[in-house]
Amino acid sequence: MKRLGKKRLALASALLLILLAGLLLHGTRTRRAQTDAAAENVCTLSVRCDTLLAHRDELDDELARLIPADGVLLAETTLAFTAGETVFDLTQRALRAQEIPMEFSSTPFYRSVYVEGIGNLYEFDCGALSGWMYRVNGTFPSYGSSRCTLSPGDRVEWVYTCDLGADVGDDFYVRQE
Amino acid sequence: MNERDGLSRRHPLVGFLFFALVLGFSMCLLHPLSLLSSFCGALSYLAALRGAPAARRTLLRLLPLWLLAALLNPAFNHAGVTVLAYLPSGNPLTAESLRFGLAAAGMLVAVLLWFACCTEVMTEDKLLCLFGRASPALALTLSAALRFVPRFAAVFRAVRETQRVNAAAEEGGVLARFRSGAAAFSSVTTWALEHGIETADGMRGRGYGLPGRTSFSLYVFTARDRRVLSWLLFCAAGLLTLALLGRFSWRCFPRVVRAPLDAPGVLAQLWYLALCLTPLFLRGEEG
Repeated sequence: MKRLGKKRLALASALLLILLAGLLLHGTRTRRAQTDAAAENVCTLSVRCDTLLAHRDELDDELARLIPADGVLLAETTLAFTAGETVFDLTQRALRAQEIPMEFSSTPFYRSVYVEGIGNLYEFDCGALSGWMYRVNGTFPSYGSSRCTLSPGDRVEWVYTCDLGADVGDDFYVRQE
Repeated sequence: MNERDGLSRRHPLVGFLFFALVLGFSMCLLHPLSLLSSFCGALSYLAALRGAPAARRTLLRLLPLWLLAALLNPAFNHAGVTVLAYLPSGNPLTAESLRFGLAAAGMLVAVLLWFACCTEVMTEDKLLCLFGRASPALALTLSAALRFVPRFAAVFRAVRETQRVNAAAEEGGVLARFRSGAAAFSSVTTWALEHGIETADGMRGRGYGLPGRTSFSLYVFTARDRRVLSWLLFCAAGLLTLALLGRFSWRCFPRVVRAPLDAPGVLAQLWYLALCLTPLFLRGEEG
């Protein structure tokens, strides 16, 4: 009887471990961003949260500490990329190199990711309409950054909005009305 | 009733307030020291109530749950400024999410241990004494519901043992054993439904819940009860004030910030420890 209990316990813990491993591996992307030295294409990337500067006093103290004085988390830098790389790949690679944490959730069905937070500044931190948006050459694509393939000379900007894009120059919802 | 336990011998109101306080504070205070106080208090009280081996068994059963809950958090939560590594999914594994997972899981275990103590001390007759007059239907439902699970298990065990004696349970393969188990489960379910109706009819036959009905209870509110109750109320007021002043505060995100352990901080933690150990102090009392 005791033997059986032990065996069952071992089986249960094995199942538990498999479940955990599955959870941790969940959403693993099979294709890794390639950091190829032979890349000939370049584009620029910046990450800013200027809109948060005006709302600094409304934010929690701990969050306010995270906002750079000039609102620039990553100044505009020129980066090389390989053909086929997406805005998301580039952003992830650049932010990791700078040790700026980024959290995202991916929806494999749509091959799309949604960036929840950069540098511990998260969506909804500045009200219900706040979050991260990206802009390529001045326009806001209406799809996820992992579906946006880079072209040479692209200017990629991540900006934090407190008003569903209206405060960073996206007039999508203004036009809808 | 646990005759040798101080809190069990007190008026139900005292026990009710005590468990409401420790459960409420355990759920809200995530400061590591408060969690430790709560955990130690609950475990030692459970050991006092059920005996050390039973408490150890309960703890061993809760340990995997604690680990699972602790590991689940960093799998879903990636906030925090200290990036330890990157998960295969590409999201960061942060020290803060690990610490929060450990704390939240510790809270879960402490609360479960307090609930285990609560079922030992707050028996059905005490619940009926507390709520029987104010809300007879709720009190009866509550006491029947709390009694249901252990009673169901006991009857199920009895049915299985009868089957085993009849050599029906052990023979045959997995399918046969499953079938006999299902038969036992079915009969116990039927028994439970029937028993519920019989209890309801029985209580109605006794005039339970009728207007003008008096409610008898064994418990008399004594001077000692008043003393313990005022200590608990004193703790509630003091700890609540300290908590509202942020003396217990501990936040994880985006970085770990904890209330300083200055004089008020130490006072807060010691006071909370005293509240958690109250039932152990009461055990020494007589009468």
